[in-house]
Amino acid sequence: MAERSVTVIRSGAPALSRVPDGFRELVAYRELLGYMTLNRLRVRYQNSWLGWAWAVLQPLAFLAFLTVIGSVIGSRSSLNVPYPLFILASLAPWTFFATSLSTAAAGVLSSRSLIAKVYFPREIVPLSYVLAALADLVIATALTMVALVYTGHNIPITVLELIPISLILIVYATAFSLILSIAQIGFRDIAIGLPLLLQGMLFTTPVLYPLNAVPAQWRTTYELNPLALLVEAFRGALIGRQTISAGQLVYAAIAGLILFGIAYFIFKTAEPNMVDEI
Amino acid sequence: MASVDITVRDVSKSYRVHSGARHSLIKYKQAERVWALKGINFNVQRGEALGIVGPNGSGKTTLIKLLARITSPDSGNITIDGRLMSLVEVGAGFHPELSGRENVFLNAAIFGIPVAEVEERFDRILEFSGLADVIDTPVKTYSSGMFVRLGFSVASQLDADILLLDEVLAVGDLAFQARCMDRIEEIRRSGRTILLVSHDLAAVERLCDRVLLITSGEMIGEGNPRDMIEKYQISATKNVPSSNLNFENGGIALRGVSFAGPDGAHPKTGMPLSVRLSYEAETTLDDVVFTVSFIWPSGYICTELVSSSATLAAGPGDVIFDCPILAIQRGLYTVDLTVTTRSGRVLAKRIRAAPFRVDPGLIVQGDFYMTHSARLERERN
Repeated sequence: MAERSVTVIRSGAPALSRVPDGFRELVAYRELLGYMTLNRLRVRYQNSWLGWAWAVLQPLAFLAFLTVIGSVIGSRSSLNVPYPLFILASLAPWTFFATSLSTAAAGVLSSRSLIAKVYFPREIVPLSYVLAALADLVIATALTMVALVYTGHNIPITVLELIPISLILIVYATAFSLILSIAQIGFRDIAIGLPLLLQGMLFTTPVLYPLNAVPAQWRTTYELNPLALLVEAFRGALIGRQTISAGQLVYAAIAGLILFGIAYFIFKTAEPNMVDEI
Repeated sequence: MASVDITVRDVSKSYRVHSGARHSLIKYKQAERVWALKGINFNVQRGEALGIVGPNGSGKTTLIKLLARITSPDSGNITIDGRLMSLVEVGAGFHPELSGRENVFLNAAIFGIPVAEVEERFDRILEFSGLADVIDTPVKTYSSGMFVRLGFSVASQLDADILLLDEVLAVGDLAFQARCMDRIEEIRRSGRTILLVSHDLAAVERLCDRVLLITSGEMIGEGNPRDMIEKYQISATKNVPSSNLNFENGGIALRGVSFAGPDGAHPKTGMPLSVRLSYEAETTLDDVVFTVSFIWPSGYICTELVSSSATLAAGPGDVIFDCPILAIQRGLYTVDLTVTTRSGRVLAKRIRAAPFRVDPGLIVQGDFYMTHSARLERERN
């Protein structure tokens, strides 16, 4: 006979053991995470006439807009690629981060009927939104590469750096998504304040401008923001002009992991009584 | 010693009651707590079918939510040995845009069941649901009956060590309900543990070995199903409201009803019963028929006593019904009294005029005692 699993249900007091226990359970529920992610993507495009074409059309349309704008304001000589590609390369990781946060924060509340009826590790809901946003990141990155080739650039070997950079970015986005989605339950203000927070983050992150445009006296403070480093590094890797050092990436990775650990602990501590407040 | 599948130790649970603006900073700390469960203790043995009964708001749903891990207790702990499958909200995880087939897999994943296991059982799930024709269309096109059938099929065909049931027996059409009952019985026979929470007391009695009675968050009884159901019924009838369907202006008033078993004792199954109904007629009335209806706790009519039509003189009087054998099973019933003319015009009516308690007499299973005898006959070649 198969081994029977023993479940102990205790009161929701904070305990560090919730973190390793949570990981173990998450592994057991990995298929649900896969399904939920897939469903988010599938349902998003299912009833639309263009279907999956939207996933490519959106960044493509944006690229077209940028091209027009770029031709109006003129290309900056400091860049080694056309302005639209420069923006697109940093917009992809930024959009991934922003989409993860805003969809995941609203996601736990909108999954309330499911959460109230069935038990499953609740972090799967925000995680599935992060993974769904990741699919968009992959598409947008691939599209940027196609555009690079099309405009006569070579794909630099530095694109391999995208893998560790993306991993750190995922950790970072997940940490924020977990905290926001659990905070949203207690404080619905999050939903109202989030766009403001994202705007603030957008301007303190080198998305629409290069990192070296930041005045020298602010640079040290500016570079404390792991997200700024990650976005700049992502673009650097994609266009083959890396300005972020390995040490700075290690710093971003450590900061991300610490933040993730704290976020996961908070989430798992609040999880048992989440249903009562939702 | 038999192994224990579920241990509930001193479990209490309270909810915060928000007054007014629930998420505003000022009000946040003022919220009061109400106790949904207080110091609940019980065990469920492996292979046992345990029923949980109690009125609405008694904490049954909270207990189920705790067992299903949807929420967690304030204090105490629950240990569950084995895989628990909840049939409380069948089809809860269904996504309307996905097909029935995709939802089967999604639903299983929500229960933490590997895809491989679902693939293996998919044919059985499909066959049980009887939805082969529509399995590839989105479930948003399903009727609510089909929806629940698919949900029940998934949950009941996957192997769980412990099954949590809540009113699921009222699912689908009659044929499907019968299959559900059979399936539950089959699961029970295979030695799996079952927890049933239901207002369908007949189902509780039929399925369960033992019953817990919960009222206002506290366990007030634990024992064999019949005893607990009766205890519950007695406590519940105290709170039955009087009916506004009562009617008494046809020139006759109903004064009361009393019951007597053998030698004036309590009525018992299989023993004689006499029912005395008192009335007061204002004038002489022709062709009057008296009816005493016995009502199940569920509200359905169980049986009735009907007098032959008679002419009543003005003034008080009694109608006495004599039953040589009280055929209904022990339990608590209510009684409706009706006075009509032979043509059917209602002269007076009293809904839930009195409780009617039947004590155990001749012990039989089921709802009725049938007068019977048995004899042997040898076949001759």
